[in-house]
Amino acid sequence: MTLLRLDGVSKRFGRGGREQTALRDVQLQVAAGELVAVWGRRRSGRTTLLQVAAGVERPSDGSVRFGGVDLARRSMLGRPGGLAYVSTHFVRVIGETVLEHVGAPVLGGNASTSRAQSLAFAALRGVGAVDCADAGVDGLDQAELIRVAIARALVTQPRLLVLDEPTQDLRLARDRDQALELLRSLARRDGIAMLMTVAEAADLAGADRALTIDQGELRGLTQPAMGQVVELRRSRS
Amino acid sequence: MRSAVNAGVLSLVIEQPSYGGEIGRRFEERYDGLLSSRPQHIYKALDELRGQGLVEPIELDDGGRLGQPVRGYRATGAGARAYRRWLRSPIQVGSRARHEVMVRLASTRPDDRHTAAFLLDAYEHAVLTLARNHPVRSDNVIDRLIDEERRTLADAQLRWIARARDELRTDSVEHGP
Repeated sequence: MTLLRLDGVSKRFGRGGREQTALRDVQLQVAAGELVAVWGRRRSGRTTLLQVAAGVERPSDGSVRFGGVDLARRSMLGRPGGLAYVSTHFVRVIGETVLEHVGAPVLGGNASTSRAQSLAFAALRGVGAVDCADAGVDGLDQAELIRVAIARALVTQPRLLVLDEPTQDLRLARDRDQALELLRSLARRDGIAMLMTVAEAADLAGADRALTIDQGELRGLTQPAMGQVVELRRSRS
Repeated sequence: MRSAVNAGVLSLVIEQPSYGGEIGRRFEERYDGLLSSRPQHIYKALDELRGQGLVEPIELDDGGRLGQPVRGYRATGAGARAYRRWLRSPIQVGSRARHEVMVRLASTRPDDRHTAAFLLDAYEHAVLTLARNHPVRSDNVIDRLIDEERRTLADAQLRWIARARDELRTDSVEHGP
């Protein structure tokens, strides 16, 4: 089932009287539970792709649909069963501890503080970072920070995570591999779809589909692979 | 066409009808580091191509050295068609994909940007598929180092493909589509 669908999406920015095209006629479909990784150089349009896909930026042309909903009409960002943008930026006024930050996205709804904490604990446990619950976000190392950021995104129980270079600040190959393994397991175990950009080919390992973006043009298999057709064999009498 | 040497020789004959020695010299320049350019391989390729009706013998001017015509080769219509089919035939994903793409790219005319773009797409597909399917092993430091080397190579290949597309775009702007 297609969860996210971009049809003929272009994005132009006006800068200093000169227009720049960040995305050109992008077609992309992401299925439920699928991990799609997009490799691109700097200024390739990779971050704009994610912002448009998440509904943070509106496309100049074309449409972005999530679960059939046109994101230009209704944002699905942060809604239960919607999509979540993983960011490692934490605003201090939200709270002091990791637990408060991770639970914050659900406090805007009807959830009580204790319910938010309960969901935050579950999210931290799901990413293997429950030991960070009482720490301050400033004291986290990069490997912990990305896990906490993912937990904060998961707390709203999204069906799609959008991640911009989730391993960019992880220097050790071991830390990168573990972060990527976490994402793969979230896709496999929990059926959460992932759309992420990567700056290094190493981070494509284990993706269901790997694409590239350059000068705003998305290349590769932009649709989920069709299921294998099993030939029907009739028994001969 | 199964033999890359035969395909390379055919592309050189299409580019310019020529005799064996000169084909060997141009082959060495064009495919240096990609294909073996031993004289016996070049003459064997010419024999096979002739047997398949892809090249035919002609008399060529020897450039005034002996004042005698020399026996050379030119491509037949079937040879030109076989060359085009070979350039655009599918490239199998695998460890040989890079070599296959580079031989074909070296055999592509400089003004044939469509074929160059096709080859870059095929190369990218092969690199992405290998990178995606590459097993993630964190068992020990040696495994991780070997994995890291492969991944670094894949990264360099993707960057080269992106730069090659930039070059093709620039060339298209400067010299027309």
